[in-house]
Amino acid sequence: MTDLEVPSRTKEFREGLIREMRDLRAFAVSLSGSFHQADDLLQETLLKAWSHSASFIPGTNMRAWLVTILRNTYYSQYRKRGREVSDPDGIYAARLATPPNQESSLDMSDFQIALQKLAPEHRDVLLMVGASGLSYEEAAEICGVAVGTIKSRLNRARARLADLLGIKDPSELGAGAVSEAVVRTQTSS
Amino acid sequence: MNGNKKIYESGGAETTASSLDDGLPLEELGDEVSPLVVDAVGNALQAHFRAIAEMPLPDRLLVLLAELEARERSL
Repeated sequence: MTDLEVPSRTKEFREGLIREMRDLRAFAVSLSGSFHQADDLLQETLLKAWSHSASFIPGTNMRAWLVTILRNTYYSQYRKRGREVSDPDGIYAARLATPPNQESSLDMSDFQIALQKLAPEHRDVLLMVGASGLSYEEAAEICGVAVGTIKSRLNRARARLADLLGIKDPSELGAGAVSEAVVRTQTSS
Repeated sequence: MNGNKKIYESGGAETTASSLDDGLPLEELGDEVSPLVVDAVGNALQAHFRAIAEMPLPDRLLVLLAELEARERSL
């Protein structure tokens, strides 16, 4: 590839990157539960994407490509931190401390707290398919599992999240113990 | 909390699994979730996601992007 070819490819690539940055940030915040960690992840993802731009195939889904990079970066950091039992400089602890503004308002929302309580594989698929709009096939490829497993995880993730958020189907409340409880409440009031 | 869980677990056993998990072995079947709950969870997730995505990007990311571009041009 000549030097002349690089700028034109990079311009298109750059435009794609900019288009995806905000959604990718939302993905990173939702995944990590922290704006600070999300921005570190985003910065690293941006650098990796830029330096490996040749591995992106034009015409394919850039969002799926970026999510793959970001998710791999996150889990490799996660695993590394898991091995580092001590945190002598308090760097990680400092990052986890509640920072000002954005962090306190959104990170601590009930929804974000519920997301953090999900199993990682459930949160993953919910964010990829439910929030980022990736296909089952793209999510399956990213996670290295079968499409059926993605569908099953998505279903479980929705059920757990609904449970954590206290979301109930009114029609289901009409049967069984819960309806009895409702009836008891109504008759006693 | 336990009450909710029970609803989903019993619902999963009784409702059809064909729409989401067609052909999967039993251990792959998840808890079945009603369309109303799927919608409510989906809406909450989208609202959370959009709220973050609509925030301006931090300066350090914009600066990094500008630096990468400048380096590219200088090649």
